Amino acid sequence: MKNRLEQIRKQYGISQEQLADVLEVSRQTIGSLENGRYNPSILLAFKIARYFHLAIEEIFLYEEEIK
Amino acid sequence: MKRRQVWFLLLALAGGALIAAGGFGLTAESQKTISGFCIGIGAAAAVLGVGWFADSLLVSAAETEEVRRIKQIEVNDERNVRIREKAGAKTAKYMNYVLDSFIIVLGVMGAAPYLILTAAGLIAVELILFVYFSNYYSKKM
Repeated sequence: MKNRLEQIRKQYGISQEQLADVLEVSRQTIGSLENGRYNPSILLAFKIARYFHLAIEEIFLYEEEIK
Repeated sequence: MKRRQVWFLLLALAGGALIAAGGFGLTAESQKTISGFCIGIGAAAAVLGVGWFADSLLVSAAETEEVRRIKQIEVNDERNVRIREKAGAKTAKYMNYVLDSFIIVLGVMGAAPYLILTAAGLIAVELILFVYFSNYYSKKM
């Protein structure tokens, strides 16, 4: 799943460490999310969306997998 | 002393007691297998107990609120939890293959039947635990 987390985080001018600290996850998790290597749980997705005052769909872009 | 540290000390003491029982108490020839089990499990428990106790002393000496918070975040981090679960599942899967191979090797080597049955029993235990936890989590989730 693609996401705009890195772009949004940079717009807010905060570092991965700061975001990780607020969301109470590790910095590596934020890095993996931004790289698209890791998909967050619905709980973390909500926390991220709430923190940036956005809807989940505005951050995480759901695409149907083409088989 | 924290409650956790008391448990570690108790574990180490229980391990020591098992080693003593296995080494000095169960000396009869007929009790040799039980004695071996006691020494093995006792040694593992004693080493883990002492190790965890020492570790808790080292950590608690340097631990501040902030360090503790960061540590908690690392432990509860959902990606780390998922990594641990995946690693655990893969390890269990491969250990199963290792155990299967071990039983075959024991059979080929002509090992005593009780050894082969004990090793096969481990697979049975694993299967029972798998069924139990599958059932438990299917109800819970």
